[in-house]
Amino acid sequence: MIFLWGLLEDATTRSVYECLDEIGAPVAFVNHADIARTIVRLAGDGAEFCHLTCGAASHELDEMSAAYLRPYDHRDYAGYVKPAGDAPAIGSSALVHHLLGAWADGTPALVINRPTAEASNHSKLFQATHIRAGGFSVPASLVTNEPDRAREFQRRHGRVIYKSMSSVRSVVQELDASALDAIGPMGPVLFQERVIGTNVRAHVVGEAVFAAAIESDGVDYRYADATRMSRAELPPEIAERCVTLAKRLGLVVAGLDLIVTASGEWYCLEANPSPAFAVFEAGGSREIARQVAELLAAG
Amino acid sequence: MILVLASIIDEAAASFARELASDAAASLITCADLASAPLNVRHPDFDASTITVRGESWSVARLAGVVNLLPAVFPDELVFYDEGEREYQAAEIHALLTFFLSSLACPVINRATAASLTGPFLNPLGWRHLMRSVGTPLARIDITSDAFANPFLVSAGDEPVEVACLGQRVITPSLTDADARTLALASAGGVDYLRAVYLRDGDGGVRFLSAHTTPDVKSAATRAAIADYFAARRR
Repeated sequence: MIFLWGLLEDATTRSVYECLDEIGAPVAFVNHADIARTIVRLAGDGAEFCHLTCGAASHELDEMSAAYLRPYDHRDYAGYVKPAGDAPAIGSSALVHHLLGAWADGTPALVINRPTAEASNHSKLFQATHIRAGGFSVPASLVTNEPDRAREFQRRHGRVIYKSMSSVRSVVQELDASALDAIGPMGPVLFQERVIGTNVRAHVVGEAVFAAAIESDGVDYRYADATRMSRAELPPEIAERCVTLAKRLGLVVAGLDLIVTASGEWYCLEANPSPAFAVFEAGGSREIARQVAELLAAG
Repeated sequence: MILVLASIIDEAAASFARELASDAAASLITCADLASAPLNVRHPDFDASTITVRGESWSVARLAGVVNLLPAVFPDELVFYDEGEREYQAAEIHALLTFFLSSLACPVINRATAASLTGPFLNPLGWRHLMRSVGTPLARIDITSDAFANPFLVSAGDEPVEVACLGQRVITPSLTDADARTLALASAGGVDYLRAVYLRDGDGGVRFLSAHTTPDVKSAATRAAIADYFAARRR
């Protein structure tokens, strides 16, 4: 049995769900939006059992051979009520996340992906140390709260972008030096050398790699007005480097943001541990989703 | 310079930093200092990074050590930001500290990982998985998401056994097999400091209940052990 936790409104989760159905794999799907009705119990003195109920459905998670987890921030759902001051320190929905996270980290089942492995994405610079050790180039980075240092960094590197240091989504923007003149005191901000080249998104699924080239008129292609994606083939040594990096980070599935420069240097900006790969499936091919489903079915 | 990284409201940490400073260069540092005092952290050339301690710029290469008493950065810590900004800034400073504390060449008690600023797990259940893997019996827990009761508290009638270790040395021995088990767990978890709590079972043995990676600086034995730890590295 394969445990699937996410939203069917999410094209990526839905495509994995449909591919599992097509290959006849048994699936225990739990809708993440039902988190307020989800109850998880974890108990034992060594060989713990983990039991989940959601409405009338009931699942013994220890019987799962694999799991695909794409949870969301439950506080974003309509109907979320912030715990009052005298409520327990941790609400039941947050506790569902903690307990399923603990189960996912400890189970021998195949998990895409274990929460502890996903955690590297919470610090871009921490992750960059692993990316660099994995053989990719990384852009020069500076975290500073001093506008003068940011100017100096820009003088040295020419074009500079700024973005969040954490996994909180931010729109990547190019630094305009005049903006620094206008800004007052600032907290620590991540500035990064802007790497010019072709954006390539590489999805690693176990030992397989699927790549898409992205042409865009924007600094951050996710928010650009004009973006065109096409299937790409990575040089074998780069594909191998991608697989090795994902393994190094403990990720079974990863979305790697790459840039290849005109001189052929390969940069990796980030490894996304829960990639929305459906967006990159050319012509609705679902070949990434199918590969994920086959991996899950193999357990 | 030895830094004691702690919450702005941690008075025990402030007192410990003063105590440590009587014997070596040491200072308390908080998220407020990181946010407002000049800070320049670089990658890949991390050794060129600088932070400001008590108004003076310090190269990270000159730091002699860090005692970290912050397992995570929570929005409530950042009272100097507008309320609407605190959650974002907490994630940002946490991300910065994850990189900073894991990249320093000097000893860090405990070195940050992606999961926690003070060790390999933020989720306390992670330690149970690890303890099970090193063969220690576990105390029974029963957690249900809709009726939370902290499973790691010692109940009335339980006989707790507590052991702390630092640098593969037991600093508060129990004179039971919990001492060796705590050293084994610290080694498996890759942490310098670990405090583990066990419950005595009916057979004269112990069962693991919980582990804590933030040094207990209210304990005189722990404070002395940390001072000795750094003194030994200066010699």
